[in-house]
Amino acid sequence: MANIAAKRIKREFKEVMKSEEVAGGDIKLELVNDCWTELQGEISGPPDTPYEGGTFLLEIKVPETYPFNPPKIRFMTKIWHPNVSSATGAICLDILKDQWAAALTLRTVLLSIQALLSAAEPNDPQDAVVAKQYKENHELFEMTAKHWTNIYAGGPTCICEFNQKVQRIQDMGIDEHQARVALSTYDWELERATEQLFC
Amino acid sequence: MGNNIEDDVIDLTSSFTLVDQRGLANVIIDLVSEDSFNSSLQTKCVAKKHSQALTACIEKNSSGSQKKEEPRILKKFGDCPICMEELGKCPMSSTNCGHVFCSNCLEQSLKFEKRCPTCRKYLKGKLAYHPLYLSSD
Ligand SMILES: [Zn+2]
Ligand SMILES: [Zn+2]
Repeated sequence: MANIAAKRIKREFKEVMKSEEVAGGDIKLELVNDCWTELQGEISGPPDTPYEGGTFLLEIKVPETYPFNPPKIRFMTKIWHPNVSSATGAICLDILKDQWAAALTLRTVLLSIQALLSAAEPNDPQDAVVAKQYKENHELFEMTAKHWTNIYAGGPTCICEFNQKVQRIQDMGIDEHQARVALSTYDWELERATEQLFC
Repeated sequence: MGNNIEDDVIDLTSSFTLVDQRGLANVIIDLVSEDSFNSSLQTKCVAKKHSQALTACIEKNSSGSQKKEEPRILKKFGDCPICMEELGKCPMSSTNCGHVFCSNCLEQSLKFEKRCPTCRKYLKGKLAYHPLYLSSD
C-alpha cells in the first residue's frame, strides 16, 4: 500500500476513535486487516427514520491511491433505501464518486452516509424498485424499510403481517430473503410476489 | 440529525486549529452547493447551522482567550488535509482559493484531478497555486 494511504488511514483511525460520534455510539470504525486496506464501519440508524434503532455495517476498502481516490464503501447489512442497492449494498452518493475531495475523511464519509439515511434522493436512485415505492407508496416504503431494519439491523419494530407473508412463501420452499425481496418489490401483495417467484 | 450537528461542531473545535476549521467549513458549504448533493432544504439548513456554529466557535476563540491562543496559532498552521501531518515541516503551497497543503501533497493531488482537494474549485494553469514562505524559513 502506498505510503501516504497507509499513513493517512492510521491518522484518520486515531481521529475517529477520539471523535464525539464514536463516544456517542453514532459511528464505529474497526480494522479488518493489518495492512490498513480494509476496514469495517458501523453507523446507527438516525432517529425519526425507518432505520432508527438499527445498526448498519459497512465494508470499507481503501484504494492504493487514497486519499486521491475515494474509499470503496458498501452496506454489508441489508437495507431498503432508494440510494442503496437492496441486492449488493452499493451506495449512490456523489462524494464516493465524482464529488470526492482528498480532504474528506472516513469520518465525514460515514456521517454523510448516515445523513443519506435521513434524506434520501429518490430521483438519483441506486435501487429503482425502492425509489419507485418511495415516491408512489411512501407509507408502504416506510413500513418495508422498518421491517428490513428489524430483520437485518436489529431494529425494534416487528411488523407481524409482513413476517407472516414471508413465512407463507417460505412454506412453499422459497428462501427467506428471496421471499422478502419479492414481497417488498411487489408492495407486499402475496399473489403477485408468488407469481413472480414461480414464473 | 440534531445531535449529529452538535457533535460535529464540538469535535471540530476540539481537534482542529483555527485554520482547519475554516477549511472544513468550506468543504461543507461547497458540497451543498454542488447541485447533485442533497439538494433538499434540510441539508441546506444543516450547512447553515454548521457555518453559524463554526463562526461562533471562531469568534469565541479569537475574543475569549486571545492572549493565550495567539502564539500557538502563529506557530501551528494545523495539519495538511491530505497527509494529515503538521503543516510547516515541509514546503507548503496555497491554492488560489486559499487552501494550504504540503507542496508535494498538492502536486500529487493535482495529478489526479485539477481541483482543490478541500473545496473542489477548478484549478488550472500556473496561477492555480503558489508556494508559501514563512518568515522563519
Ligand atoms: Zn501533506
Ligand atoms: Zn480550495
